[in-house]
Amino acid sequence: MDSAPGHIIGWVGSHILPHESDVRAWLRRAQLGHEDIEDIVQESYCRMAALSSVDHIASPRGYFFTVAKNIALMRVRRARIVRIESVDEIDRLDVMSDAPSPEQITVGRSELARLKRLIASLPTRCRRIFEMRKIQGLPQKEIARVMGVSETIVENESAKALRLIMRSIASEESHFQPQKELKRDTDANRN
Amino acid sequence: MTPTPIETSEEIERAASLWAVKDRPLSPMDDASLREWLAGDPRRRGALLRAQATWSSLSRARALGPSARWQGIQPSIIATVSRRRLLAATGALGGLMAAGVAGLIINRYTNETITRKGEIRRLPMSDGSIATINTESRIKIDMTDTQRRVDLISGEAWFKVAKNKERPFVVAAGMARVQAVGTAFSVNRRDGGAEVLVTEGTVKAWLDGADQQAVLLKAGDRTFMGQKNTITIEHAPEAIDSALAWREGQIALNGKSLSEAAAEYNRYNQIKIVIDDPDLASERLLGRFSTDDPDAFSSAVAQAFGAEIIRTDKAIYIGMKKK
Repeated sequence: MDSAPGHIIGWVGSHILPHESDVRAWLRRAQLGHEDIEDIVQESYCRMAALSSVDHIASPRGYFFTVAKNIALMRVRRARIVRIESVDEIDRLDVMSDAPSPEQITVGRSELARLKRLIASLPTRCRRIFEMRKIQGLPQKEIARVMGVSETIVENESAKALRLIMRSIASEESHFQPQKELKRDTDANRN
Repeated sequence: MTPTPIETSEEIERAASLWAVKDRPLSPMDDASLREWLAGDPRRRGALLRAQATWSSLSRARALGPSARWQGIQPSIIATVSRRRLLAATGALGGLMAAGVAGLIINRYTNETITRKGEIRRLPMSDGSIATINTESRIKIDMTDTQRRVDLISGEAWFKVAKNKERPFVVAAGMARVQAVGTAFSVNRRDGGAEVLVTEGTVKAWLDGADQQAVLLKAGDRTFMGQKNTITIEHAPEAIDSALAWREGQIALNGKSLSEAAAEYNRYNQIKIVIDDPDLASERLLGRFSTDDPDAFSSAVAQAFGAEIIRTDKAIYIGMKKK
């Protein structure tokens, strides 16, 4: 099996990843546990890895939410013990429209500032190698020579930097606005 | 096709990150083993796409230039602050070289962070751990080669701790001590003690100077460590999730009474919510609201219970309509 084609990787990087923290926050609102959310997000990326073209996707944000919602519903229905409220909660989630909110526009502007924060928080050797790879654009071999370490170490440190950054992205606060809804306790316990 | 035992998402993520960072094009040998890897667990393909997409999007970092040039303007990063001090001390040493020297000489970072009323701050630490600090809190971070120590002087914070067996991560809140290796938990310092909520992994908790042994808390456990010498543990994962909704700037009402909800709002906002009616104050509520919008909350309450709102500059009074 092949890895996803370059244009899909690029599209996911620029059009899907920025919405991941919102999708996670949205799934949390449906009372889904941490592990369920991990699995749903991962499975969403599996579906995207199978795409050969994204021309038909007008709204990547809406697409991401829809895919996640379908996977979530499928999982809850497949579970042996169905939590009625989960199905109901997921079913009631509205897929977000693609119009960026004022918050998201600000997020776009602070993208680079955020990136700086992520890089600055990496451990020292990890950060040096990351900078040589991604900022100076040096090949792996050259970095190994400059640092006086093996190429495997350069690879491991780069992968570590990537994982730390991916985790920060996943645990990032979402700028997603919770729905203003309020119910009396008794109403909600009817189920 | 699926290998046994089943891989954890973390193992898959680790392997995917290694594949993602390899220089392209791959050697024919690497290419073959990547295909073989992808043919295994179907989750691998998604994990690889996410890792590759993140790695490729990180090329934007090129626009930043070397960090030595911009790190001075990021005072909220602990490591950076210390490095800047070092730069001032060593004078002419510049660029990457200074960063390298910093790694050798500086082995102790200390930094104090204070949040104002209503402020919730996410603070990445130099070791890769993250502190999310709640409203009106004060913490001091002290990083040494042998220990990572955080003093919770007041307030509340949640810690996502980077694994490092050699450098234990210890939070001190008054007499209470909480130690983690690689895990996530929160500590809320209150009058008479500290509340500890564990969201991932296991932590060790004890009272400084007390005779009895430390207790172990697992994910979903909570405890209140007061003056008493016994520590009682309660397993309440859902309550913990709600109690930590502040990390997303939210208050989870989950069955709280209106008076409790008002008290919670008043932790975050200058404008106070006052409930004028005892019956109304004991009504129980559900739902999630933004911590910074007491007006939206008050009008939702007014709508739900047919109550009346009187708003002044300093307070929002909620009471029943006079009949």
